[in-house]
Amino acid sequence: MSRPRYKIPPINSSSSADIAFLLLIFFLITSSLDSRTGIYRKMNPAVREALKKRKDIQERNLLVLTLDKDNRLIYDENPFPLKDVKELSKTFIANPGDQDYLPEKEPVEIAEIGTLAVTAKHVISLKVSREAKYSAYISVLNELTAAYNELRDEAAQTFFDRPFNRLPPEQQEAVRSIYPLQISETEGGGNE
Amino acid sequence: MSKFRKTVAREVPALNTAALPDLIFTILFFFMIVTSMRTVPVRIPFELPEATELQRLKEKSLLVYIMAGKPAADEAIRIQLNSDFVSLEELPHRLQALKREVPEDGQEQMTAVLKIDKDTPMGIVNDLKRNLREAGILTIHYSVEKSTK
Repeated sequence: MSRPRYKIPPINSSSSADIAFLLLIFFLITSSLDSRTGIYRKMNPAVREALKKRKDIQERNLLVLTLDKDNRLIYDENPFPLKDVKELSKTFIANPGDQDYLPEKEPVEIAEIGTLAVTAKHVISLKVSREAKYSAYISVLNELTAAYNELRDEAAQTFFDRPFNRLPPEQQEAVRSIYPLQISETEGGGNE
Repeated sequence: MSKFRKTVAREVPALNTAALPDLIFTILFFFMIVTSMRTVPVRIPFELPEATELQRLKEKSLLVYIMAGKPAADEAIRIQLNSDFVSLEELPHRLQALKREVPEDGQEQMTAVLKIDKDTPMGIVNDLKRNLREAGILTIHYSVEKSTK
Protein backbone atom coordinates (compact mmCIF):
# COMPACT_ATOMS: atom_id res chain seq x y z
CA MET A 1 0.00 0.00 0.00
CA SER A 2 2.59 2.59 -0.86
CA ARG A 3 1.48 5.96 -2.06
CA PRO A 4 3.15 7.47 -5.01
CA ARG A 5 5.90 9.80 -3.78
CA TYR A 6 5.44 13.35 -4.98
CA LYS A 7 8.43 15.50 -5.39
CA ILE A 8 7.82 18.94 -3.83
CA PRO A 9 9.22 21.67 -6.04
CA PRO A 10 11.39 24.26 -4.22
CA ILE A 11 9.73 27.57 -3.49
CA ASN A 12 10.92 30.12 -5.93
CA SER A 13 12.37 32.84 -3.75
CA SER A 14 14.11 34.89 -6.37
CA SER A 15 11.62 37.74 -6.00
CA SER A 16 11.86 38.06 -2.22
CA ALA A 17 15.05 40.03 -2.73
CA ASP A 18 13.01 42.51 -4.74
CA ILE A 19 10.48 42.77 -1.94
CA ALA A 20 13.25 43.47 0.55
CA PHE A 21 14.67 46.08 -1.81
CA LEU A 22 11.30 47.78 -2.00
CA LEU A 23 11.17 47.96 1.79
CA LEU A 24 14.68 49.36 1.92
CA ILE A 25 14.00 52.04 -0.67
CA PHE A 26 10.69 52.96 0.95
CA PHE A 27 12.46 53.41 4.25
CA LEU A 28 15.24 55.47 2.74
CA ILE A 29 12.79 57.83 1.09
CA THR A 30 10.38 58.33 3.97
CA SER A 31 12.88 58.71 6.79
CA SER A 32 14.02 62.23 7.52
CA LEU A 33 17.35 62.30 9.19
CA ASP A 34 17.89 64.28 12.32
CA SER A 35 21.22 65.28 13.79
CA ARG A 36 21.59 64.38 17.43
CA THR A 37 24.90 66.02 18.20
CA GLY A 38 25.13 68.92 20.56
CA ILE A 39 26.31 70.30 23.87
CA TYR A 40 24.56 69.45 27.11
CA ARG A 41 24.09 72.04 29.81
CA LYS A 42 22.30 71.83 33.11
CA MET A 43 20.77 75.04 34.40
CA ASN A 44 20.33 75.87 38.04
CA PRO A 45 16.75 75.95 39.31
CA ALA A 46 15.24 79.42 39.40
CA VAL A 47 15.25 79.61 43.19
CA ARG A 48 18.85 78.59 43.59
CA GLU A 49 19.93 81.15 41.04
CA ALA A 50 18.37 83.92 43.11
CA LEU A 51 20.05 82.68 46.28
CA LYS A 52 23.42 82.29 44.61
CA LYS A 53 23.64 85.98 43.86
CA ARG A 54 23.78 86.68 47.58
CA LYS A 55 26.81 84.51 48.13
CA ASP A 56 29.72 86.83 47.57
CA ILE A 57 32.44 85.25 45.56
CA GLN A 58 36.02 86.14 46.23
CA GLU A 59 37.75 87.74 43.32
CA ARG A 60 40.39 85.05 42.98
CA ASN A 61 37.66 82.46 42.49
CA LEU A 62 36.06 84.33 39.64
CA LEU A 63 36.96 84.39 35.97
CA VAL A 64 34.91 86.95 34.11
CA LEU A 65 34.58 86.61 30.35
CA THR A 66 32.42 89.01 28.41
CA LEU A 67 30.98 88.58 24.96
CA ASP A 68 30.10 92.02 23.68
CA LYS A 69 27.65 93.10 21.02
CA ASP A 70 30.26 92.89 18.26
CA ASN A 71 30.91 89.24 19.14
CA ARG A 72 34.29 90.07 20.65
CA LEU A 73 35.44 88.26 23.72
CA ILE A 74 36.62 90.60 26.47
CA TYR A 75 38.80 89.47 29.34
CA ASP A 76 40.15 92.00 31.82
CA GLU A 77 38.82 94.87 29.69
CA ASN A 78 40.82 93.84 26.65
CA PRO A 79 39.85 91.71 23.65
CA PHE A 80 40.96 88.15 24.15
CA PRO A 81 41.60 85.63 21.36
CA LEU A 82 39.12 82.76 21.35
CA LYS A 83 41.78 80.13 20.75
CA ASP A 84 43.46 80.96 24.08
CA VAL A 85 40.27 80.65 26.13
CA LYS A 86 40.82 76.93 26.60
CA GLU A 87 44.33 77.35 28.05
CA LEU A 88 43.22 80.28 30.19
CA SER A 89 40.27 78.46 31.68
CA LYS A 90 42.24 75.23 32.12
CA THR A 91 44.85 77.06 34.20
CA PHE A 92 42.09 78.86 36.06
CA ILE A 93 40.08 75.74 36.87
CA ALA A 94 42.99 73.53 37.85
CA ASN A 95 45.31 76.06 39.52
CA PRO A 96 48.24 73.70 38.97
CA GLY A 97 50.87 75.71 40.90
CA ASP A 98 48.53 76.57 43.80
CA GLN A 99 48.96 80.28 43.03
CA ASP A 100 47.32 82.82 45.27
CA TYR A 101 45.74 84.71 42.38
CA LEU A 102 43.98 81.60 41.09
CA PRO A 103 40.99 79.86 42.77
CA GLU A 104 41.66 78.58 46.26
CA LYS A 105 42.01 74.86 46.71
CA GLU A 106 40.37 72.99 49.51
CA PRO A 107 40.53 69.32 50.42
CA VAL A 108 37.42 67.46 49.29
CA GLU A 109 36.57 63.86 50.02
CA ILE A 110 35.97 62.13 46.71
CA ALA A 111 34.65 58.61 46.44
CA GLU A 112 36.95 56.13 44.64
CA ILE A 113 39.94 58.51 44.82
CA GLY A 114 40.25 59.88 48.35
CA THR A 115 40.85 63.34 49.67
CA LEU A 116 42.10 65.78 47.09
CA ALA A 117 42.69 69.51 46.93
CA VAL A 118 40.06 70.83 44.57
CA THR A 119 39.18 74.33 43.40
CA ALA A 120 35.62 73.76 44.50
CA LYS A 121 34.65 77.41 44.63
CA HIS A 122 35.81 78.51 41.19
CA VAL A 123 33.22 80.15 38.99
CA ILE A 124 33.55 81.09 35.36
CA SER A 125 31.23 83.98 34.77
CA LEU A 126 30.17 84.47 31.18
CA LYS A 127 28.48 87.75 30.43
CA VAL A 128 26.75 87.78 27.11
CA SER A 129 25.38 90.85 25.38
CA ARG A 130 21.86 90.58 24.02
CA GLU A 131 23.11 91.49 20.58
CA ALA A 132 25.88 88.93 20.39
CA LYS A 133 25.38 86.17 17.88
CA TYR A 134 24.40 82.70 18.96
CA SER A 135 27.29 81.17 17.01
CA ALA A 136 29.81 83.32 18.94
CA TYR A 137 28.26 82.21 22.20
CA ILE A 138 28.40 78.56 21.16
CA SER A 139 32.06 78.85 20.20
CA VAL A 140 32.92 80.29 23.62
CA LEU A 141 30.83 77.62 25.31
CA ASN A 142 32.61 75.04 23.18
CA GLU A 143 36.05 76.24 24.31
CA LEU A 144 34.99 76.19 27.97
CA THR A 145 33.56 72.71 27.58
CA ALA A 146 36.79 71.66 25.89
CA ALA A 147 38.78 72.95 28.87
CA TYR A 148 36.70 70.90 31.31
CA ASN A 149 36.81 67.84 29.06
CA GLU A 150 40.60 67.98 28.74
CA LEU A 151 41.09 68.41 32.48
CA ARG A 152 38.75 65.52 33.20
CA ASP A 153 40.54 63.38 30.65
CA GLU A 154 43.87 64.16 32.28
CA ALA A 155 42.50 63.34 35.73
CA ALA A 156 40.96 60.11 34.44
CA GLN A 157 44.34 59.12 32.98
CA THR A 158 46.18 59.87 36.24
CA PHE A 159 43.80 58.10 38.58
CA PHE A 160 42.31 55.32 36.49
CA ASP A 161 44.66 54.98 33.49
CA ARG A 162 41.83 55.36 31.05
CA PRO A 163 40.23 58.21 29.13
CA PHE A 164 37.17 59.75 30.75
CA ASN A 165 34.70 58.34 28.23
CA ARG A 166 35.67 54.77 29.00
CA LEU A 167 35.30 54.96 32.77
CA PRO A 168 32.38 53.31 34.57
CA PRO A 169 29.69 55.79 35.72
CA GLU A 170 30.78 55.99 39.37
CA GLN A 171 34.38 56.80 38.41
CA GLN A 172 33.15 59.37 35.91
CA GLU A 173 31.20 60.94 38.74
CA ALA A 174 34.38 61.00 40.87
CA VAL A 175 36.38 62.69 38.11
CA ARG A 176 33.53 65.14 37.56
CA SER A 177 33.68 66.19 41.19
CA ILE A 178 37.40 66.97 40.86
CA TYR A 179 36.54 69.51 38.19
CA PRO A 180 32.89 70.46 38.73
CA LEU A 181 31.42 72.42 35.85
CA GLN A 182 30.67 75.85 37.23
CA ILE A 183 29.78 78.33 34.56
CA SER A 184 27.51 81.16 35.49
CA GLU A 185 25.83 82.97 32.64
CA THR A 186 24.48 86.46 32.92
CA GLU A 187 22.95 88.78 30.46
CA GLY A 188 24.47 92.10 29.54
CA GLY A 189 28.04 93.14 29.83
CA GLY A 190 30.24 95.69 28.20
CA ASN A 191 29.51 98.28 25.53
CA GLU A 192 25.75 98.08 25.83
CA MET B 1 40.76 7.67 -29.42
CA SER B 2 40.95 9.77 -26.34
CA LYS B 3 39.56 7.81 -23.57
CA PHE B 4 38.93 10.61 -21.10
CA ARG B 5 37.23 13.22 -23.17
CA LYS B 6 33.59 12.80 -22.83
CA THR B 7 31.31 14.77 -24.98
CA VAL B 8 28.51 15.08 -22.48
CA ALA B 9 26.53 18.31 -22.56
CA ARG B 10 27.41 19.95 -19.24
CA GLU B 11 25.01 22.28 -17.52
CA VAL B 12 26.03 25.34 -15.48
CA PRO B 13 24.09 25.19 -12.20
CA ALA B 14 21.70 28.04 -11.50
CA LEU B 15 23.02 30.77 -9.23
CA ASN B 16 21.59 30.30 -5.79
CA THR B 17 19.99 33.59 -4.76
CA ALA B 18 18.30 32.29 -1.65
CA ALA B 19 20.58 34.36 0.61
CA LEU B 20 20.11 37.59 -1.31
CA PRO B 21 17.01 38.75 0.61
CA ASP B 22 18.94 38.18 3.83
CA LEU B 23 21.64 40.53 2.60
CA ILE B 24 19.12 43.19 1.71
CA PHE B 25 17.40 42.80 5.05
CA THR B 26 20.74 43.29 6.78
CA ILE B 27 21.19 46.59 4.96
CA LEU B 28 17.61 47.55 5.83
CA PHE B 29 18.11 46.84 9.52
CA PHE B 30 21.41 48.68 9.49
CA PHE B 31 19.69 51.79 8.17
CA MET B 32 16.83 51.43 10.60
CA ILE B 33 19.23 51.32 13.53
CA VAL B 34 21.62 54.10 12.59
CA THR B 35 19.07 56.65 11.44
CA SER B 36 17.23 58.72 13.96
CA MET B 37 13.85 59.79 12.82
CA ARG B 38 12.79 63.37 12.99
CA THR B 39 9.75 63.59 15.22
CA VAL B 40 8.73 67.19 14.72
CA PRO B 41 8.36 68.99 11.41
CA VAL B 42 10.80 71.80 10.85
CA ARG B 43 9.15 75.02 9.72
CA ILE B 44 12.08 77.34 10.14
CA PRO B 45 15.19 76.93 8.06
CA PHE B 46 18.19 77.16 10.36
CA GLU B 47 21.89 76.74 10.11
CA LEU B 48 23.33 75.31 13.28
CA PRO B 49 26.56 76.67 14.75
CA GLU B 50 29.67 74.53 14.72
CA ALA B 51 31.52 73.05 17.65
CA THR B 52 34.04 70.34 18.46
CA GLU B 53 32.98 69.11 21.90
CA LEU B 54 30.00 67.04 20.91
CA GLN B 55 27.74 64.90 22.99
CA ARG B 56 25.04 62.78 21.50
CA LEU B 57 21.52 63.34 22.67
CA LYS B 58 20.95 60.48 25.09
CA GLU B 59 17.25 60.67 25.76
CA LYS B 60 14.79 59.61 23.15
CA SER B 61 11.64 60.62 24.96
CA LEU B 62 10.57 63.61 27.04
CA LEU B 63 12.16 65.96 24.57
CA VAL B 64 10.98 69.49 24.02
CA TYR B 65 12.11 70.84 20.68
CA ILE B 66 12.60 74.56 20.42
CA MET B 67 13.73 76.07 17.17
CA ALA B 68 14.44 79.67 16.38
CA GLY B 69 15.43 81.39 13.21
CA LYS B 70 14.25 83.57 10.39
CA PRO B 71 11.71 81.98 8.05
CA ALA B 72 13.06 84.22 5.29
CA ALA B 73 16.06 86.51 5.11
CA ASP B 74 14.11 89.73 5.68
CA GLU B 75 11.62 88.46 8.24
CA ALA B 76 11.69 88.65 12.01
CA ILE B 77 12.93 85.73 14.05
CA ARG B 78 10.26 83.24 14.95
CA ILE B 79 10.17 80.56 17.57
CA GLN B 80 8.86 77.08 17.03
CA LEU B 81 7.95 74.92 20.00
CA ASN B 82 7.63 71.29 18.98
CA SER B 83 5.47 71.56 15.86
CA ASP B 84 3.97 75.03 15.95
CA PHE B 85 5.00 78.64 16.10
CA VAL B 86 4.74 80.43 19.42
CA SER B 87 5.46 83.95 20.54
CA LEU B 88 7.73 84.65 23.49
CA GLU B 89 4.73 85.80 25.52
CA GLU B 90 2.83 82.55 25.23
CA LEU B 91 5.90 80.37 25.67
CA PRO B 92 5.54 80.03 29.48
CA HIS B 93 1.94 78.72 29.18
CA ARG B 94 2.89 76.34 26.42
CA LEU B 95 5.82 74.98 28.39
CA GLN B 96 3.60 74.50 31.44
CA ALA B 97 1.05 72.70 29.28
CA LEU B 98 3.77 70.43 27.96
CA LYS B 99 4.94 69.74 31.47
CA ARG B 100 1.48 68.77 32.63
CA GLU B 101 1.34 66.06 29.99
CA VAL B 102 4.37 64.38 31.51
CA PRO B 103 3.91 62.28 34.65
CA GLU B 104 5.38 63.78 37.79
CA ASP B 105 8.38 61.47 38.05
CA GLY B 106 9.41 62.13 34.49
CA GLN B 107 9.42 65.89 34.69
CA GLU B 108 12.96 65.94 36.02
CA GLN B 109 14.22 64.21 32.93
CA MET B 110 12.69 66.57 30.44
CA THR B 111 15.29 67.88 28.04
CA ALA B 112 14.99 70.93 25.85
CA VAL B 113 16.62 70.51 22.46
CA LEU B 114 17.57 73.93 21.18
CA LYS B 115 18.02 74.17 17.45
CA ILE B 116 18.83 77.77 16.92
CA ASP B 117 20.13 79.51 13.86
CA LYS B 118 23.69 80.68 14.33
CA ASP B 119 22.91 84.33 13.55
CA THR B 120 20.22 84.64 16.21
CA PRO B 121 20.98 87.39 18.75
CA MET B 122 21.69 86.07 22.23
CA GLY B 123 18.86 88.14 23.71
CA ILE B 124 16.33 85.72 22.25
CA VAL B 125 18.34 82.70 23.35
CA ASN B 126 18.54 84.11 26.87
CA ASP B 127 14.78 84.71 26.90
CA LEU B 128 14.21 81.12 25.83
CA LYS B 129 16.54 79.85 28.52
CA ARG B 130 14.92 82.01 31.19
CA ASN B 131 11.50 80.66 30.22
CA LEU B 132 12.77 77.11 30.33
CA ARG B 133 14.33 77.66 33.71
CA GLU B 134 11.14 79.12 35.09
CA ALA B 135 9.17 76.21 33.71
CA GLY B 136 11.57 73.86 35.47
CA ILE B 137 13.07 72.31 32.35
CA LEU B 138 16.69 72.48 33.34
CA THR B 139 18.54 70.18 31.00
CA ILE B 140 19.41 71.81 27.73
CA HIS B 141 20.93 70.30 24.65
CA TYR B 142 22.25 72.87 22.24
CA SER B 143 22.17 71.25 18.83
CA VAL B 144 25.39 71.93 16.99
CA GLU B 145 27.08 70.67 13.91
CA LYS B 146 30.43 68.98 14.02
CA SER B 147 33.11 71.49 13.15
CA THR B 148 34.82 70.69 9.88
CA LYS B 149 37.98 72.59 10.73
